[in-house]
Amino acid sequence: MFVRNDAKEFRFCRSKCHKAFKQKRNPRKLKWTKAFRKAAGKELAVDSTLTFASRRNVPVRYNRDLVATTLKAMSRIEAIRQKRERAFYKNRMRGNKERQLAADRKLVEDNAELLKMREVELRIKAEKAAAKAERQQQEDEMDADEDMDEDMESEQSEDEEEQQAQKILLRNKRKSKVKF
Amino acid sequence: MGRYSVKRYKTKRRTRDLDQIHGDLSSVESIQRLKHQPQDETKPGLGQYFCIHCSKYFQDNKALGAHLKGKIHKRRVKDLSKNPYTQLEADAAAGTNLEKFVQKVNEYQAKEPARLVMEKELLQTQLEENDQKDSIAHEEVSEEMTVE
Repeated sequence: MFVRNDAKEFRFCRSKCHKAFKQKRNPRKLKWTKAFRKAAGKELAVDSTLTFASRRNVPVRYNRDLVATTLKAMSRIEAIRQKRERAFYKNRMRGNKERQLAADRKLVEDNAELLKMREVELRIKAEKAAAKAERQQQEDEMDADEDMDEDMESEQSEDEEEQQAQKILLRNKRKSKVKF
Repeated sequence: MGRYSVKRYKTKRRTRDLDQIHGDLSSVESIQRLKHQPQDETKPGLGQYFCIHCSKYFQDNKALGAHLKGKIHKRRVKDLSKNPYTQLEADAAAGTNLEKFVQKVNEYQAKEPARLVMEKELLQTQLEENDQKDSIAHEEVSEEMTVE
């Protein structure tokens, strides 16, 4: 039990709840509490079968008939409550199967390559080969057209490549310097 | 609420709960009483610069102003904008006194908009009022000095 300094008493079902209270957690936001489940519409919260249980601070004089009817009513109310809760749950879960199926279908459609790995691989390979062949053809045509220019260009490109290689080498060196 | 530290959650360091603060903010009298507290030398700033939402005393009006602009205060105001969790709701969740709880919720929903307006009106001018109070006190002190 926790007694606040305005004399309000708080009782806890377990130490977990007591600790959460001391940390000022809001039970309405903790998913494992009854309060959360009711506030978030996961459970039947407002229903006539739930209104019978209440704390009455005035004692009732013993009356045999009253006790008999109460005992009879208790089991009956409990049965009705269970039925309604079951219906509530069913209603809440209705349509889940279809929704799940649709989601799965979408997943499969979006990620086809995961299912048909080999087929897709082969297709991509064939496409690449076709593209390569086409390029080769074009280059052959170009070669036939301008042989001289090609030689010059190739020399130039070689120089550039060398320069680039050197640059990279330098950069690598600098990197290593920083490291050690 | 920041990093977990046991020290913060020791019950001797316990600060006011949200439902208590909501109670503080629910009537004109209590807001006025908390805004204009008698001078108390055990409290920071003689208990003159109080943030009701965070139930916290400040050293001077400048500190209070900075706090009112800050993240922590805004977060607290946001927390207080929802119906505070009480024992009644816990009982209702467990299955007792549901009718009472539903009645309380309806009451809250009916009263809350008017209360928010009232609260805003009363707390809008808190800083200026404190400034005025300070300047009056300052004048009094300076007068006494000249008399001596």
